[in-house]
Amino acid sequence: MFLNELKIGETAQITNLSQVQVLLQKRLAHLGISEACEVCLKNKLPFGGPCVIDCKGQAVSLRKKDICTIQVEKSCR
Amino acid sequence: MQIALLGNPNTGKTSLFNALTNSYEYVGNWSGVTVEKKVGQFVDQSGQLIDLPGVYSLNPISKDETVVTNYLLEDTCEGLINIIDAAQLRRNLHLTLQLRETGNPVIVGLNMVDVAKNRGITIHTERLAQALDLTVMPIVARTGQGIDMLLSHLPELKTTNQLGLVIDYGAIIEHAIAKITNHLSQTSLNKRWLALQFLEGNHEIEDYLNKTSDITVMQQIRLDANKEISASSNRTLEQVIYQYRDQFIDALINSTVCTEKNQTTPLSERIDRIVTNRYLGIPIFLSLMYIMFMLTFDWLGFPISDLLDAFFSGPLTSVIQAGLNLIGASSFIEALIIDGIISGVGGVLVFVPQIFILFFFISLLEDSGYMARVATVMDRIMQSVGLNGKAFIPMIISFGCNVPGVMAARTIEQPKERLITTLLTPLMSCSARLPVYALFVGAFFSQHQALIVLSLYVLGVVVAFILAFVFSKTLFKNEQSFFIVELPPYRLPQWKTLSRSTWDKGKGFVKKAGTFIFAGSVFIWLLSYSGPGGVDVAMDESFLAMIGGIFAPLLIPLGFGTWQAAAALLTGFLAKEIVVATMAIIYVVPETGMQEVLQQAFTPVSAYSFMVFILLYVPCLATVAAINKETQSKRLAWFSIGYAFILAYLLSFIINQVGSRII
Ligand SMILES: Nc1nc2c(ncn2[C@@H]2O[C@H](COP(=O)(O)OP(=O)(O)O)[C@@H](O)[C@H]2O)c(=O)[nH]1
Repeated sequence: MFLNELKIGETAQITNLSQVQVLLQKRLAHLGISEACEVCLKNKLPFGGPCVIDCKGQAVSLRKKDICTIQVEKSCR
Repeated sequence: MQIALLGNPNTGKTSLFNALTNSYEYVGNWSGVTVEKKVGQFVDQSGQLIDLPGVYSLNPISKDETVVTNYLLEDTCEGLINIIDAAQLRRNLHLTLQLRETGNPVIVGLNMVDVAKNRGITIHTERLAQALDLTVMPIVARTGQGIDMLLSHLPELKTTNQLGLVIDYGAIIEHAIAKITNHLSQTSLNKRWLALQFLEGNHEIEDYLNKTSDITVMQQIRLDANKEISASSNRTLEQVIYQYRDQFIDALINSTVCTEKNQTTPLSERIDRIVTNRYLGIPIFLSLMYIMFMLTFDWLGFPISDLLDAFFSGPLTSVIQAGLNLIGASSFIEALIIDGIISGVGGVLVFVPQIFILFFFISLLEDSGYMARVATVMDRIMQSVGLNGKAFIPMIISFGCNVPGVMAARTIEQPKERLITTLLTPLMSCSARLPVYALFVGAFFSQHQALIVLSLYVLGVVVAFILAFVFSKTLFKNEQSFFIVELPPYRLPQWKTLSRSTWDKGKGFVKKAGTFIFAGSVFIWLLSYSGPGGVDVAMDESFLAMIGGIFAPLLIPLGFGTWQAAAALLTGFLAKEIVVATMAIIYVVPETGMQEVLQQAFTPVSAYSFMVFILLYVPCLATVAAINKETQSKRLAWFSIGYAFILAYLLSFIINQVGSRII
């Protein structure tokens, strides 16, 4: 599934970032967000606005269309 | 001793810089690229500290980040202070590893240990120091804790012979590094570092190497390595290099950091639930802007300015007049000082309190971490006009002054969005335009002062949005756009930082009043005092009237076709504050106030039309220079003047024609 499919407050593990646009991949790496990280969807702004995710205690906002390219898997807990 | 300060954004770099230095200055124009570099003197006078922009990596994405890489390539320093955020150690260490690879002596300031402690993170600093082969000093930049220790370790940097850190990047990459280092010509820089950065695809390094070596061979080596890597792991070179570093850091963290889980929701998160709330986000932002605006004008600004104005035109003028009489100054000198300098410079200085209030709030917004939230909340709107949420930050900064606004546009990653933002930030009403509004609303709209001024600010923003839409659809080719912004934890701003950055921004205004506007006032007064008929002529026969008269007919359709308005606008290109200084000189009448004179020269409609014209007509000289430097294009600088002028003319025309029919 993709990150945008999570509900607010849900946590999942990133499984694949390769479909994300290249520059954004780099930025995510800079922020320490890489495959196998746990992310939590914190907030979605209305009208298809950006989403806020939390990874390792830092919050980052991203556009919805980019979030749709981040593949995740819900942690089985 | 020259030391450079580097670190990720939001790690407390500014706080550390302020704690380590007591005086500093901005220096422009640096290594070809124009940037403002901040150079400070250490408190113990032992040398200079250079503040570099915050970066996550030495492989830059946005334009501001290239500064750091270029500094390491082209300037020499005795050592680097790397400030890292103890609460975000993993991410910060990526930069630390890269810095250690440069072979420059590095000392680590482990900042925010207080925050880390609160989050249950304990860091074994000695082990960290050992593994990285450098000194690690735990500090709290905000309170100054540990700063003395850090300072006392700096002289060691000069004498330590740290070898560049060597991480094993695996056979394929190591092989490529070896081949590239063989091809590098003689250099004082660390060859392994250069090779690695080249393999990572760092454009700045590539450009640098291109100057001295033949890089086609190296490019081939990189291509081959990339093929080999992707065949075996399905990843790019850059990703694999990142992974190796990450593994190194993983091991490091496992052996040095201990984390206890604590379950309380951080305060930042609770605040964010409100301020970036789906529905409340934009209303909250607008309310904050409104409060900031009202404090700058109605609630606090206007009353203080009025007091100052009363002081300048009352007691101060009489004291100086008495003094001049006492020393028997000639009437020429007396007129020059009273009508020229006090009117001109004083007319501008009156607004210093308002401008400082405005800058204070902008500093507060910058420092608290709220700006990133604004970018988030505004992104949807900005996206619909072809920009991204980050573009809103330069715009807010531009309310203070357009020049730093233009430069703040650098942080936007995509060239097209950056360019449009750079071109449009001058439409934001900067503090230099504020005196003009204050003067006119006082004379014409005393019932609705704040409302009228607010309408001008809003007009600037709306026009910028419309133009952004038009420009992004027509002038620039489309490119893929993205938006990513880190939301740093909220931190209570510190008085010292706030006052320093407010003063930093505001002092330019005061300085300008003392130099530029002072000289301008003298010059303008001389032009108004002399004419073809000699000196001490009637104002209408002065040179100033002649010059203004040439352009006045052009302005008739706009409602203010007088030589006075034309002359004021002409001088305003130098700096917008001068408009008020010029008007104060032109309309100086000892008995009645300036406002009454203005009321005879303008109607309310033409006054509004004049204010709109001032808002839009051309960016000031300093802004045009900044645009020229940032875009590296004379054409675009001229374009910024041209479009603004046409726009101003059109809008003022419409306002005057429509307004004067209705009213
Ligand atoms: N609690 C805590 N806050 C800090 C510390 N150092 C800096 N800050 C705060 O962190 C915020 C960002 O700091 P700043 O110096 O602007 O960081 P920069 O963006 O890296 O220049 C400011 O609000 C500082 O007051 C620290 O050691 N402890």
